[in-house]
Amino acid sequence: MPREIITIQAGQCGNNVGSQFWQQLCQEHGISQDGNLEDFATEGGDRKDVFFYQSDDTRYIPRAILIDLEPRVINSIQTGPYKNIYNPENFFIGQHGMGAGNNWAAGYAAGESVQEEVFDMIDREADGSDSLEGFMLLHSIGGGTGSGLGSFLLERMNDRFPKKLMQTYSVFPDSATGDVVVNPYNSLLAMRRLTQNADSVVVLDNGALTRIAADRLHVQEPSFQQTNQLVSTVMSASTTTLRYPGYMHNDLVGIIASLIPTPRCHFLMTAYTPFTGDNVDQAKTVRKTTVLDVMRRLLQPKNRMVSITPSKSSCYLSILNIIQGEADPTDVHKSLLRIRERRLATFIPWGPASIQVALTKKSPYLQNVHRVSGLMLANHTSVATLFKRIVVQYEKMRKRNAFLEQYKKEAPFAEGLGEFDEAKEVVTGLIGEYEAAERDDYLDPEMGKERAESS
Amino acid sequence: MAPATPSTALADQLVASLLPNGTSASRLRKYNDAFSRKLKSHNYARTNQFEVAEKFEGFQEKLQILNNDELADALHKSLVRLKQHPEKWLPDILDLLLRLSDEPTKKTRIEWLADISRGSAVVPSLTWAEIEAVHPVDRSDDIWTIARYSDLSSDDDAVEVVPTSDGKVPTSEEQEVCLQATFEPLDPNSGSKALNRLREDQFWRNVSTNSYELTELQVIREILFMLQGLPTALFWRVGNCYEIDQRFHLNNCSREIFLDILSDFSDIASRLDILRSYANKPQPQYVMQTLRSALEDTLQHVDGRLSALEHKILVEKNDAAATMIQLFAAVGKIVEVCSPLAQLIADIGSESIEVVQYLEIVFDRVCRSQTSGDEVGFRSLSRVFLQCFDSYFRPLREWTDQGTLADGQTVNFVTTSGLSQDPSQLWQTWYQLADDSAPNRCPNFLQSVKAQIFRVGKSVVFLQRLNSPHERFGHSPVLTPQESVSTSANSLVPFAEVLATSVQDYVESRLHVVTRTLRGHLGNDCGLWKTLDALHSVYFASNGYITDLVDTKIFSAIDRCDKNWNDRFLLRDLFQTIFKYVQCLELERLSIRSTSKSSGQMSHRRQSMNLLKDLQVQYKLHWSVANVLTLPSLASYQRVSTFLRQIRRAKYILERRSFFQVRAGRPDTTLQAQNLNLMLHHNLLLFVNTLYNHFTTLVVEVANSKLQQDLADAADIDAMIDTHDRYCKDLEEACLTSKKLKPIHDEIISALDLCIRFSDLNNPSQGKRRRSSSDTRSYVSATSHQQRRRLRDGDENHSSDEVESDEDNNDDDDGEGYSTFTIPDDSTLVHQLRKVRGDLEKHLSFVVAGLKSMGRVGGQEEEGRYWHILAVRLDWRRSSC
Repeated sequence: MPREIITIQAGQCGNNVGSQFWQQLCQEHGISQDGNLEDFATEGGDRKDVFFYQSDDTRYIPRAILIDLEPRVINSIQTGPYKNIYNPENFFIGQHGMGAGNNWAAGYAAGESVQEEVFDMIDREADGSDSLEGFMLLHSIGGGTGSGLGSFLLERMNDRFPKKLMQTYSVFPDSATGDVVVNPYNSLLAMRRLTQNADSVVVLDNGALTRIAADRLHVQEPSFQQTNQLVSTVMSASTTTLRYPGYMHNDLVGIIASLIPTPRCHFLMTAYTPFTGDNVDQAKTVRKTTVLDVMRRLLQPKNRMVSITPSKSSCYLSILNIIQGEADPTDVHKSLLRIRERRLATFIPWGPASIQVALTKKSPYLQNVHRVSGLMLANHTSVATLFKRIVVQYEKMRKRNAFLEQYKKEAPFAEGLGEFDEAKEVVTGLIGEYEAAERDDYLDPEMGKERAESS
Repeated sequence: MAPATPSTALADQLVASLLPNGTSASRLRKYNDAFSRKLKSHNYARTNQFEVAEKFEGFQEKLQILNNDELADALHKSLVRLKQHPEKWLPDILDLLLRLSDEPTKKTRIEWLADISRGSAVVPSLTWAEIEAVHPVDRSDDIWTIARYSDLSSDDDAVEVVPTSDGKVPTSEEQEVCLQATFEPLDPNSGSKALNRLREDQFWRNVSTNSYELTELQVIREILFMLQGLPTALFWRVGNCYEIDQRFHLNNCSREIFLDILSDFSDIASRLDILRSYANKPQPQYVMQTLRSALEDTLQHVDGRLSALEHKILVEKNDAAATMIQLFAAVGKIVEVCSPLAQLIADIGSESIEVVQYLEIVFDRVCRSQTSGDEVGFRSLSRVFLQCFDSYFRPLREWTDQGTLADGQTVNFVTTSGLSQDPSQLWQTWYQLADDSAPNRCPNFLQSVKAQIFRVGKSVVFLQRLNSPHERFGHSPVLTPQESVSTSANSLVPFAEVLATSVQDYVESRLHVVTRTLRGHLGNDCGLWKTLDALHSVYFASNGYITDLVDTKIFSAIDRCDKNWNDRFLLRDLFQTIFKYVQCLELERLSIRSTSKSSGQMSHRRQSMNLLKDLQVQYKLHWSVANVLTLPSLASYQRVSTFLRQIRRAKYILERRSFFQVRAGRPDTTLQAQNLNLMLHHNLLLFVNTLYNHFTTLVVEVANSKLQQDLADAADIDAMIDTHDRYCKDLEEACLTSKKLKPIHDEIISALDLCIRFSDLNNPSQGKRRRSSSDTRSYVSATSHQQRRRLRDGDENHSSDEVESDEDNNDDDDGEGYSTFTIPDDSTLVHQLRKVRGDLEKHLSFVVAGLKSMGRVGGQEEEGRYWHILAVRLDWRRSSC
């Protein structure tokens, strides 16, 4: 009963990130470029079966479905170094190879026509699992395919696999640069599905990724590959507890249940420190990495993968720190006490402070520059700021009726732009939910009253 | 000489007839005497007359069979006639005749007698000399050479050839003289001069009743005899002392001085006598036998020197006159070594004392003599002590070298306990040390190494039991305190210190070797480290994924109210199927014990975490490892394991049973109830996660790595056992399963029970019995998903119609298990939830307060228990709010 997780990569960004992710997993588990186990990979204790299955010829095949409406990225994967590890039946490219053109509506509309083929793949993978735990969707929300087709898939998957968890790794567009003008439209529309149909969304802000690459890795204009490397590092770290089982957090539901106290506030921020890797040589700076340092740095906004300056009232709903490497458990718990004493993190007023630490092994097959590294998965109310930006940008564009024509052409908007309004309502509701979560009376008005009276 | 009788005359004739002619008269007389003595003293058995008569009957019968009836009749008649003349010796005569007869049944004719006398002429035997006289043999021929193999030569096959000899041993002239020398008895009445002189010299024969004057030489001789333990005329032995015969005096010395000097000598003699009498007493104990032997050696040495002195004074012709004063000085020197020994024997006393006590007395005296600078005493006593110690230590060396204890050995302070011979108890119960009051207690001077000696032997037994090759641990150093001990009393190093160091060095080096070998065996061959990993995996769920799979099955069976949830056969299969992926585990060692089968309703029993106490998963240990990880300590593992499983059950309920239910919400719930649900779920889950995180990642993990490190560093098996016992104690205290922390533990269990209650309150099928699910993981239904989606959408105003339809649909849902709590009619869900929250708060406050006070009181004890950290983590919310 491996509790498998099937990964769905949608769109250009999703596939790029996915390809880096699989490459990282292969290296961590000692799987060669053709899917065979390397000779040196003799240490047990890891669980490859969560993300891979073994073919008849004992090769490790990712439980991955690669979907894109245009062939460029998928073709590059199919000709890349790791081309042989994927199941060739799990590639899906739109019929005409015409992408969604950064249009959510085009991507969503394409879903109707491609769903049969795509769900055949998903069903086949699901049937091949002993006890499927859930799905991981890798996509961006600012484009067309990942955003639109991704939204379509989320909706359908919820109905199709109601008992399975749905986690997404969603790359949010850089609101500052706005390389694609219609980002806010696409983001808003996708946000509605992420709010309604996903159990957990790991928010990866492209702006923050670029900034981290620039500030931390000293790369002024980071390439996609470099930012994707950051994403894949975060993804692999956040799945470590599933792949290297320890005492706790060995299943997705355990992680999600502790991180997400209320179902709507399921957008998770991440922070990772210290960054390093083959592709980011510049980052190999000499630094002191003790457990306390790592845990303190994880709480610093500049290390977060979401580019937000938290407001004074913002607070953590929950935190899960995944510490890898030679960490002494005593140090970890002492660090927790330090965080508490110095009030380094502010938590919700309506419930206990939920901060947990998982200590996991590092892959024995990778050279680690740093003694200790850490990933923070945090449920923080300030993530709503990102959504607010989307709503604000959407409203500004909507007022000008800019670029609406191309949306109107597509099926979801055939009967008008109601879809936009509904999406805005959902996202605004979500923002309201996060704001409410910062107050005493979020879940129990009476408790709020008691507090107010007592104070 | 016996008077001559006719029989003796006959005997003489017989002797003369048997001896060759030419025997001298004296020799003849000698033989005659010998013969007659032999004849007289020989106890001949009487001839059995019935046997003789029977033989004659048989003889007659045989003659008849041989068809010689005439002779048979004649014989019969003769015998009948003979019976008419009864004669005492008749049977003897007849027997003689029978014995003299030569085939009487064949040689039946009188005339054949002539042939007999002729044939009896002795034919002289032919000798080689006669033959060689006629036909000489060439003795120089090679065939007559005899090979003699010499062991002096190293040459192969080199032989020394010597001519044949007749094998006679050559005798020298001197030897001949000795052989011929005979002691001829001196006739006391012969009046020989020598005899008279001898009588004169034996002055004691001539002592009158009044007084007798002795020469100084006589006195000296008497003294020397006395010192050698011989009876004398001058000294009378009375008990252990000597009395001086007052009749004797010396002409050139005043009586007082004479007696004074003699008294001094008698003192010396009585001291020697103490030694002599001890040396003559048989000793049952080998250590005492050693002492006796040492005393014998000393006495032999003293006697030898006294004899030499006697020879010098009495035999050697020297001009100087021998004086008693000189003798006193000389004797004093000779017997000085005996004085401390005599004192020692006196200390020991005549009563038999225990060997250990004896050794301690000797040891004390050695030390005392060294302290007082008595060099002679120290030398003699230390020599005796070391000999006895060597003898005493021999069985101990067998124990440390071979691990054997001699049967019936009462001296050795290590004994077999006679308890069970279960190898897993080898270290703990097979052997024991004698009490300090026991006769075979450990001597004081070995107290410091007593425990080490005990451990060395046990380790050797352990290794032999493991079939370890003896050469890996058998080479032991030699204990040689004799070499280390300085024989000078003036040595600055105390004897006790030297002996202790010597023994300590020996024992420690031995202990080092055997412990290293044993640790190597335990670690490599017996799999101690692997077993620890296996124990941590089975009891402490170090591989959470594997444990989760097992737990899911067990917990879902409990939630289905399956009475056979802890069926040991089913569970054993389950464990073996799932734990086969854990490499460090030997599956056949896994066993399940289902302890009690309560008669209570399963639906009630499942509401408490205490139900899990009915299940015990055990991992049986290899006997060698079980010696270190003792059986009682495994009970600690079991208690901690059960506690962790109870927390995992709460986690399972909150994550697997309630997660989606709470998010979906019950169809009939209000927003308030829903929000309360979410909050309570979050609080409970956080409480449970914090507990589990604390006990596993901090307590168990840190304790385990410390245990492994401490075991690797442990000096010996005892230290390993102590380390592990301490680990278990610390672990139990840190995990709150020890007795003194029971109130806190109980509160936690009560708080965990609330998770079941909470889950049941939220179960859509609350109060209804549902069909059991075959898919234990199907924790959410399609219907509840719809509700969940609605909740995420923020759609709070669903109509009652929808509620009803939802409830109808629930009938098709078979994945929830069922709840055994019911909400009373006069209560609402919100009320119940608030009650749960109140209870949780109450339990939590108690736990936090309890842990904090334990942390405060504990002080140093807090080290490794982390009560304070847990209290702070559970109490975090209050300070941050």
